Amino acid sequence: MITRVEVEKLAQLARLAVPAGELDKLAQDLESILGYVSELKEAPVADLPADQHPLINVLRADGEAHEPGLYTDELLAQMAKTTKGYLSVKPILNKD
Amino acid sequence: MAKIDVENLTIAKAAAAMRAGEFSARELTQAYLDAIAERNPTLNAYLEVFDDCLEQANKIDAKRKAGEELGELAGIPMAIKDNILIKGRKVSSASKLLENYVATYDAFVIEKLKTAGVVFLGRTNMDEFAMGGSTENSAFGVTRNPHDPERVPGGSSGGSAAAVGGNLALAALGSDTGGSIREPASFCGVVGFKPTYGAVSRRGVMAMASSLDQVGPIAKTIDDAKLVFDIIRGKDDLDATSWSSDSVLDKNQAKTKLKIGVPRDFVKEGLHPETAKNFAETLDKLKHAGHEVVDIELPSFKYALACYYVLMPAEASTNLARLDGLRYGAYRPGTDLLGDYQATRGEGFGPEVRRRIILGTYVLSAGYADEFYYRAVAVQRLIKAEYARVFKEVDVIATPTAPGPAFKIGEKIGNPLAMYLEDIFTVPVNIGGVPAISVPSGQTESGLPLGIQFTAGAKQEEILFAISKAITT
Repeated sequence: MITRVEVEKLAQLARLAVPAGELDKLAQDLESILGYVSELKEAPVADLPADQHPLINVLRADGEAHEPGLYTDELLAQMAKTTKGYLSVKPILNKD
Repeated sequence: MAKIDVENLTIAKAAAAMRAGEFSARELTQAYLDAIAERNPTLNAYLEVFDDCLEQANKIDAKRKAGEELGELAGIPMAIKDNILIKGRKVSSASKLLENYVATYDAFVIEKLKTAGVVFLGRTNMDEFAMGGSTENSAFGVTRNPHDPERVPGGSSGGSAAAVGGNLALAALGSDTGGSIREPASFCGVVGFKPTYGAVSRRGVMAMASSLDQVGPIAKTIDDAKLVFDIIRGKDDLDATSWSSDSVLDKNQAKTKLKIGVPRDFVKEGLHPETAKNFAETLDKLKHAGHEVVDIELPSFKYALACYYVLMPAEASTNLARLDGLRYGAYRPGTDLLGDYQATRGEGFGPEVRRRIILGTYVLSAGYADEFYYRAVAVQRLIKAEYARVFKEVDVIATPTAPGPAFKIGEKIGNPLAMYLEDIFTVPVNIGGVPAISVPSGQTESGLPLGIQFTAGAKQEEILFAISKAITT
């Protein structure tokens, strides 16, 4: 049984504000979806693969970087707030 | 010049007519812009029609006049799903969060289409971040089915399928993570093709579930779908999972009699009666064309949908974690930095995206990963092994594309699980990483299109084009 509290906790982990009015419906939806996917428990799998996803380590090796600053202006233009070529965010440490 | 008959036009015919000077790329583009102006206000297939379509076409006409060499799709007007990046143009994945986002580079497939001379008409509506099977999850309104505006066009590539099915584009690109090209193609009466995983580069395509996503064409004929696929396929150094088509030696290409496997147990339940009847008739047609139809068993496939609804949200919640509104997208301020993230994501994402992110967070969380995520990965291996076994016995697997024809707008939106069941026949293909195609196979008594899905072994796309022709010619 998925509770409102669990949905709130999951939303927090996912950094997602869920309006209070939607929590019950969401809990109900998750309950029915998880009930359905629990069929997986009946599948005849002998062992669980800890690290054997078929696409492990498929990313390319790093190559030569492009020359610095080539895309900076274009990327900065999309940012919410910038200061002297940097992305500005709210402080995460308080002085007091 | 006579009026261009967009209803009966194909890429092949249009290309030939432009070569013969019957009409210009500009005239062809104008014919589609006229059709869009007339029908898009009802269908809402396009989120944006580009304002430079005629200029794009003029460039092709000028090159042709100057005798310059032209690409294979020169002057062909195409529509692009709103999750594929075209440099300098808006691309939103039909999300409020990316409503005004402008692409800073071209997707690999767009580079290829540009070289081929395509005229880009606009970007098409979709379920937000490709999550859905009806286009009802778009933040910018539902797309309507060109065969019945009361019904959905399918999804998530619903705008692309409606554009092609409604003759608002000659062909389109979609993306397919669990059926998002094939299901809408079947609902809109057009051809939808999902290539083998890695046949087409994913660079510049907004990721939903990276291990399942694949771009492919939606077109009016098999030949048109193959033509577009042959242009966009290939190895890309910037997508390490892509591979070169040069390495594919197609032994089955010359084979004229194919062995078709039908997983009877799997397609037995939950079928709309008209879909069941049409499927049986289509199999008869294939037999008459000289192909052999045999029953096969795929016992793990009954777990495929459950497997998909664990793997996909797990990967999607991870991929969408990058969207916090700070570096791009619509920023909504909160009380502190965490509050910024929560407000941006909470208000920016629609209900289905939030549902899947939370579901993905759940199945990956420490207490439940063994029970859900790792078990789903193990089941994926079973399904892959089953495909490998069965493709030693048969050349192709046939099922209906979807359990029924297009459903009514609003019919399933309140019940996520009912909506997910629409994907029952399409998701195993993505889990197996194999290619599949949806081909129009007829219609219901009330005139709604139906589709049949053919699946082949990895890298055997040519078999799919060959078998598909048996029912369309």
